Amino acid sequence: MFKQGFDSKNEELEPLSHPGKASGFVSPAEDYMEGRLNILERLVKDPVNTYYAEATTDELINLGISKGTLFVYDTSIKAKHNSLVVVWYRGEWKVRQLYLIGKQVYLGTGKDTEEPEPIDANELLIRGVVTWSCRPHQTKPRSYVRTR
Amino acid sequence: MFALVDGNNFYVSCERLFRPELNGKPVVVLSNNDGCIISRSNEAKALGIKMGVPYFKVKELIEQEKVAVFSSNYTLYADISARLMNNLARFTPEVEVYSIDECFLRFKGMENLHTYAHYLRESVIQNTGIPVSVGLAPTKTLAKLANKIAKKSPTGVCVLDTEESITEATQVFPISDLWGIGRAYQVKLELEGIRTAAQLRAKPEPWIKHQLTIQGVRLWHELWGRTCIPLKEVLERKQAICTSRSFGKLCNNLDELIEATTAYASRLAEKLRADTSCATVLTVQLLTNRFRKDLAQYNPAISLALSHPINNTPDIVKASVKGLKSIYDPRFQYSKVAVIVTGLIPEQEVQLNLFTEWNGPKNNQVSELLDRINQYYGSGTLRLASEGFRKRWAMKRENVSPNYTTDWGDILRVG
Repeated sequence: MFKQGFDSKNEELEPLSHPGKASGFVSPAEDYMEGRLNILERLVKDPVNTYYAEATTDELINLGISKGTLFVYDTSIKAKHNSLVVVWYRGEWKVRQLYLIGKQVYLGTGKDTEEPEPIDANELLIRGVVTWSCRPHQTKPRSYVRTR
Repeated sequence: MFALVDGNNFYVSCERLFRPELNGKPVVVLSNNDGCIISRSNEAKALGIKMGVPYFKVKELIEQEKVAVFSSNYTLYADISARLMNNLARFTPEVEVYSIDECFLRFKGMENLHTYAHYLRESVIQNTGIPVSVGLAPTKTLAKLANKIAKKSPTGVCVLDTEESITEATQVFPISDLWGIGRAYQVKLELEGIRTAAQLRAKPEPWIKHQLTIQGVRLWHELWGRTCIPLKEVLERKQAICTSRSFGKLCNNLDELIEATTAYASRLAEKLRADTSCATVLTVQLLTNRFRKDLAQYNPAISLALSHPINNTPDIVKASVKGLKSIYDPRFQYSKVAVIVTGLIPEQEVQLNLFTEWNGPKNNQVSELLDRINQYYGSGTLRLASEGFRKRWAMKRENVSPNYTTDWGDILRVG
């Protein structure tokens, strides 16, 4: 129950279980093999407190975040000034930049033309801090999210 | 010292995690098939909705008071539970997950327990978003008691670490709320004039030994802070495994019953393999709806001795369907089928029976493949055709929430 595996080898793409084991000559690299890099090690520091969300608008385009971007967020990280945060505010889930100036809280979208919105802290629920945003480039951004 | 940490109104809290607009509003979660109320927010409790009442009995009140209603989404609750338990396990290596929403933790040689208990609670709430209560005391029984008190306290924490605090807490604590006191024990003790934990605690040891069973004696010692119930860190092998579920509607069609039985038996075989056990006895039971007093009742069951200890899907299914066919009577309307395996032995200890023709090795390979494919592509991807495709008997889940944390199609959408 306590182990969350990062191990998800796709056997279709990697049919060989021990590609380094040779039947003839022993591989000269045998003693030097190390685990291949796995992106999850970078993207997910704390698997137990990591969640995912998907951007449904281009609201954060000035921050380089377009519709279809996948957010990785961590609920164990304390939000600070300038953190990108997942918030519940006035009946909606949003990702915004958090500004803490004096006692006042602001949420911004990174747009130069827009002043950050002053927020009533009692109405704001900060669910987590975005640690990474992943944007697809090779394929046309395809949403995984079902429309209900 | 032992801590018992549990999630407040756990299923409701899981649902609220992704629907914060429901904070402060009445919410209930229903059992399988939307039958009974199994989790209530404090606001729903305040409306007088009792635990376990059938949904139809309170439906009018629920609609009138605009109570949010959810079908149970165990996929979501299991994942949130695993996240909660893992967060707790970071505080001490000695952990016993007691149920989907309760966990015992053991702390040794700690000072500043009060501060630590508050710190634990706050960080778990921050990380998981699930409100939890923490009871801390010298024994598991007292930790359970402390947890009940913590639930009612505004801080959500109760530490019983001195004789005075234990005396005070037990003074008003009803024996019926003690861990391990069932209805029968409660009646017996109340006849003796014992109504509170303190009154039970005050009885002399000879009286306890004379009047109560060994469990009662343990309970008494635990109330005095002497550990009798240790932390169970290694799970014991299960003695029996059961899959049973009510159908979405009454059913007397044999084909549909076979489909349902196949599905439950397949799930059961999976559970057996996860436990690395093999079954020697398999029981199938059909049940009619006991609440439908207007219909004839019939609850036949049959136990089959399996010629060989098995845990592979094809053989478990074959035996279950054979059992089903032998008890099926078309004159009745059934609401539920149960498949139970007992006489479980470890997979490695299976002895071969010389006198049966058995293609176990082949069926075991099929099962291994089933498990691997279903693990990779999601449960239920590959299954026996006899489960059927339409699942006319499937569970009724009218208000089930999305699988926010286990399905890419259901993750949070943000603006």
